[in-house]
Amino acid sequence: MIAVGYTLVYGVLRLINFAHGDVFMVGAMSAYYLQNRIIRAASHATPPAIVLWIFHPPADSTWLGFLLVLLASMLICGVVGFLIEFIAYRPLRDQPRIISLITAIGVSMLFEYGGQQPWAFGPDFKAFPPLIPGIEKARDLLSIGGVVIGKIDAIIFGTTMVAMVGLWFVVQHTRLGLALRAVSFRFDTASLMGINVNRIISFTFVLGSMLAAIAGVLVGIHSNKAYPLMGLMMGLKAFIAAVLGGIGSIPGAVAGGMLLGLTEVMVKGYFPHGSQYTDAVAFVFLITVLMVKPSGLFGRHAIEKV
Amino acid sequence: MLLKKSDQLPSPVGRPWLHTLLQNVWVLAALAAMVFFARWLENPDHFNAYYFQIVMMVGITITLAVSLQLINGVSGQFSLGHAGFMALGAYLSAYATKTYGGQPIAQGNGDYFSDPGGVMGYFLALAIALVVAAGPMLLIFLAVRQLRRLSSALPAVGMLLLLAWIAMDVVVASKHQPVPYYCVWTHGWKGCIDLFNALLRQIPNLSTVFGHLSLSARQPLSFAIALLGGGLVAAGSGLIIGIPTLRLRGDYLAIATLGFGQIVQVLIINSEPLGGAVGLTAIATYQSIDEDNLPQRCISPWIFGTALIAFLLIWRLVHSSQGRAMKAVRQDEIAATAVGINTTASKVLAFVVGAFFAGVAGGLYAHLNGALSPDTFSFIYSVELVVIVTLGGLGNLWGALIAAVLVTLLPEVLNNADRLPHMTSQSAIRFAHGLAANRRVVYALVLIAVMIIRARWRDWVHGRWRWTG
Repeated sequence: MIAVGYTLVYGVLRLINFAHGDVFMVGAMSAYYLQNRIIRAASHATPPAIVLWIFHPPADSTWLGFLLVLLASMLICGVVGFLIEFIAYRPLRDQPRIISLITAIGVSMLFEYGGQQPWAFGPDFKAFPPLIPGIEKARDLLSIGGVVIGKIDAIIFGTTMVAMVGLWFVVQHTRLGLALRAVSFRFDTASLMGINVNRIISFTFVLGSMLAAIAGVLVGIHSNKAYPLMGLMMGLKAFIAAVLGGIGSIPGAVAGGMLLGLTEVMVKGYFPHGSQYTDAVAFVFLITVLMVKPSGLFGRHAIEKV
Repeated sequence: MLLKKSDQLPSPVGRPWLHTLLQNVWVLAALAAMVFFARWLENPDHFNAYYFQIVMMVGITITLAVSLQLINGVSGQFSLGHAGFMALGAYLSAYATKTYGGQPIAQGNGDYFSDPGGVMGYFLALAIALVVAAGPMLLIFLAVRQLRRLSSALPAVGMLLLLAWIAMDVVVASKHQPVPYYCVWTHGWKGCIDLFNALLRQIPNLSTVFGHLSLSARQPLSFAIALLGGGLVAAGSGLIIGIPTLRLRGDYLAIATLGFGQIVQVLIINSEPLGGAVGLTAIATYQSIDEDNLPQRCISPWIFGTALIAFLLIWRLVHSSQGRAMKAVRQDEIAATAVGINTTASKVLAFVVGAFFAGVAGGLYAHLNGALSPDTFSFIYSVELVVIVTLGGLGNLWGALIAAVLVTLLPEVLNNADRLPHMTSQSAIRFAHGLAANRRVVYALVLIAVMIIRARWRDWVHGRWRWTG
C-alpha cells in the first residue's frame, strides 16, 4: 500500500532524476527536524475556530501540526528541487542524456553521502515522530464495506489520492499545466509558442519535489524512521514503477506503483523468506517489462525519427 | 594514376605483430615496470601488509576501470552493473579454490590450490549449468521477438500470463508453507533460488568426473583456471544479460544493468553454499612457500599482470575495426547502422569483454582479501567505478587508468597525511583528514563540476558567461 506514495512523479519528468529519491529523503528529514518546532508553535498559536472545530487537536500531535509540517517540508523540498535543477541540470540541457544521467548520479551521491556526514543528518536512524493523532493505535483497523485496512494505510492512501487529484488538476486544467504538457512534447516548439521553457522545467522540478516531500513524510510516519540512505531504494523503485506504467503517463505511474507494491507485499507475505527477495523481484519485473514492452503498460510507443 | 610515396598509406605488410609490438612498446615498458614495482612491494621489509593491500587494490581497480571504460566510454553503453560481474567472478572462483583447493598450509600439506582437475571440473559443470539456464531464456526471448512482428497485442497477453503465473504461485505456495520440493513451475521465484542452490550443491558430484585430470604445474595453473573460470562465467552472464538489455537506450540500460547487479547480490545473499549474507570466509589467499617455510605474498604479478593484459587487450580492441565500430555506435547508433555496422554485435562484444575482466578482477580481489561479503559488491561500488571512468574521461583508457590510481590512492594518502614527510602544519593535516572522511561527497561535487565545465567551458573561454545551454 505504501507503494502508492512514492510513485507520483516520474510521469512529468523527462529526465531520469536519480536524485529524486534523495529529495524524498530530504523531505522526511526536514519533517523530522521541523516537527517539534512547528507543533509547539501550532499549539501556542490560536488557529481559527473552524479549524479547531474540525480537528479537535489533542496535546502533542495535531492534524494542524501534521499539515504544517507537510507544507513546510514541501516548501523545503521545492527549494531543493529548484536548486538541483538550476545548478546541476540546467547547464547540461543541450548535452547528450548520458551526461545528465551521470550528473544525476553525482547529485544523488552528494545527498546520500553528504547526508551521512556528521555535519548534516548523521548516519544513524532517526526515530520518526508520530505526527498524526491517534497513530499510536496504528494497529487500529478500519473496516470499509468488508475490506479491512490499517488506519495509517487509509490515511496514506487518502493523502495520496488528494495529491494525485491536485496534480491532475494542475496538469490538465491550468495554463501552467498546459505549458508543461507542451514542453514535454518538444522544447523548441514550446519556446516558439512563447513559453518560457526554463521556468516551466523549474516548475516541474518544484512540483515533483513537493510530491516527493509528501511521500517522504508519509513513509517516515509509516515506518517510524528516517535515515540518509532511505531514498536510494525508494528512488529506484519509483523509477521501476514509472517504467512499469509507461514513462510520461501519470495514471500509468500510479498503476505501476500499485502493481509493484502489491507484488512486493505478496512476495513478502506468501513466500517463506520472501522478504529477502523483494528487491530482486522488483528488478526482475523491470527487466521483463523492458524486454517485452519497453513503452510500459500504459505508455505510448515513441517513434524515433532520424 | 601516379601516387607520390607520401600519399601511400603505411600498410602493416610482413609482420603485423611486430608492428603492433613496436607501437606499444612504451605501454609494455610502463606496465612491466609496474609489475616489477609490485614485486618489490611484496617484500615485507619494504612495505607492510596495509600498504601492500592498498597497492594491490590499485591494480584491481585499474583492471575494473579499464574494462568499464570499454563498456561505458568506448561503446557508450551506460552500465551500472559492473560490481555484479565482479561479484560473480569473485564468488565463483573463491568457491572453486575453497572447495577444490587442497589443504591449507597450517595442516601441513603446504600446497594451496592443488587440485586443478577439480577446479576445472567445477567450472565445466558451471558452464553446463549456465548453458542449460541460458538456453530457454534466449529461446523465450527470440520467440517473443518473432511473435512481436506478428501481433502487437502479444506483449500485453504475455504480461497477463506472467501475472497469472505469479498469482498461481502465490496460491500454491500459500497452501504448502514450507516448500517441499524444488519446482520452478509451482514455486516461481523461490523455486528458482532453490534450484540454483541445489545445482550448486550438485556440482561437486559432477566434478569428480573430471577430478582425475592431474596436471604437472599444479599451483599456478589451478589458480589461473579459477580466475579464468570466474571471468568466463561473468562473461557468459554478460552475454545472457547483454543480448536482451543492450537493445535499450541510455537510461533504461543503466537501470537494467543496475537491476542485474542487485539480482546478483540478492542471489548471493540467499545462497547458502556461497556464505549467504555473512559472506564467504577463509578463502585461501594466493601464497607460496619460500625456503624458510614462510608464506610469501605473491599475488602481485597476477594482479598487475591482469591489469596489463586487460589494458593491452582493450587498447588493441579499441584501435581495431571492432573498436571503431563501437565508437561509431557511441556517436550515433542510427548512423552506425546506416553504414552497415552490426550495432548489437559490437555492443555485446564490449559488454562481454568488460564483464570478463570484471570477473577476473573479482577473482583476484577474493584471493587477495581471503574473505568476501555481499555488501562489497553493491550498487555503490558500481557507481564508484563509474565515477572513476567519468573522471578519467569517457572513452579515454589512459584517463581511466590514472583516475583508478588516484581515486584508490588519494583517500589513503590523505588519511595518513600526518605520516607524510614535511607535513607539519596541523590545520593542513586536519584538512586532509576531513577531505578523506568526506571523500564521496568530494567525488560527487567534482563529478558534477566536471560535467558542467565539460559542457560549458567553450562558452566561458570565449567570454560568454552563460549558465544555460
